Amino acid sequence: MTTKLWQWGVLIAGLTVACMVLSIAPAHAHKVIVFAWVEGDTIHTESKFSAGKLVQDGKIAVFDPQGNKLLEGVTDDRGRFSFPIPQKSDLKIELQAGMGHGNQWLVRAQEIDDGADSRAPTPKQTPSEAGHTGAAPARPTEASATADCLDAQTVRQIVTLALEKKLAPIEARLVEQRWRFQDIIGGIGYIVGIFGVVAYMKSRK
Amino acid sequence: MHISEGYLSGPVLLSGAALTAIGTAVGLKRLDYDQIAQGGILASAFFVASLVHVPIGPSNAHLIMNGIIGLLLGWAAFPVILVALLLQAVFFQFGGITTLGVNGLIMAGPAVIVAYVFGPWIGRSGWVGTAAAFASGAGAIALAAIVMAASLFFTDEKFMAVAGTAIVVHLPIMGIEGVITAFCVGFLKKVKPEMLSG
Repeated sequence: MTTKLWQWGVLIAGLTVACMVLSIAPAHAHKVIVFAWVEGDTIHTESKFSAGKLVQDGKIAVFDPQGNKLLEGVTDDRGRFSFPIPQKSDLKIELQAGMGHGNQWLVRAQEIDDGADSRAPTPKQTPSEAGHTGAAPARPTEASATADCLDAQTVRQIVTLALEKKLAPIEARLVEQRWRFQDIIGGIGYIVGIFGVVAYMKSRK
Repeated sequence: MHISEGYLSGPVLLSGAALTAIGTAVGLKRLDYDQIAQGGILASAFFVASLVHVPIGPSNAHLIMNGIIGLLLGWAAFPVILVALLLQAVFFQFGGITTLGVNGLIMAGPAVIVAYVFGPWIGRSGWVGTAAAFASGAGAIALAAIVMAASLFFTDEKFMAVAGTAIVVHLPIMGIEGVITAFCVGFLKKVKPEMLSG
């Protein structure tokens, strides 16, 4: 009996170690992520499985806050799908990657607003007019900028565009949340606890 | 094999949840006191196995281990797999809370079927027992692919196409799990044969 128990223990230990080693090396499985960012007047989306594999021919649909479908498309072989901004509001981007894999991403209205303002400034917002109407301008920096060469609006536009380009990959990386070793151990801990409770309940009968 | 949130329609989610609830009730009733520790170990194995990603072929698939769980636990596979699925949804965002029922059915249903179909043959010595064990491991996954395709059928996808793709994508996994199951059964037969009667 003792040898049997001993062998049984070795099996469990071996399986556990094997699972851990295997799970740390690739440390991912299949959850699908869709990520979108605004660049100028376009919204780019990138879809991938959490294994890092890109989603090809995934269906992308864009919805307004009321749930009306605005447009749809298919991801290319780099997992990307880009479309012009359909309207200034929160946009829900939904990915269906086939076989039950799906996820969504929300582009907030203010993300779009930043880009849209710099692209098509309404007359009221131009700094030159602000300078004319206000005798003592509330924002002196903008007024002085207009006086010289580049108006503040153009500068802001250039900076926004450059920032959007630079930040896109960083934001994309933030989305790729990998679970950590603690999650695995934590989950196993929960299982031990749950089955402990079950054993306790059954033992009282 | 985990179906994500927001993919399925209400009726499919509800019927999946109902069937899984029945399976879980039956499973809990049949769960012996002695099987609880074993169930916990298998739930942990199932929970972690989903992280073992097999990078063979065009697939994006991972180990499932529902065949061996079915062979060892029978109907108790339902509660065991359900617990592991819940934790996978919470910790890894595999599947989801609303799809727990459907996903439970996809993975635990085949486990029970395999236990009934191949269970009686497992005890045989020689190659018959080994072949039955392999068939349980591989068959449980093929059946899971079919159940998954059936639950997606009511959404928008074509049953045959999805079932076909899912089985092809999981072919390497079926092979690996068949071998794992055969080894486990072979080992248990030598060391603790009473476990296989369940």
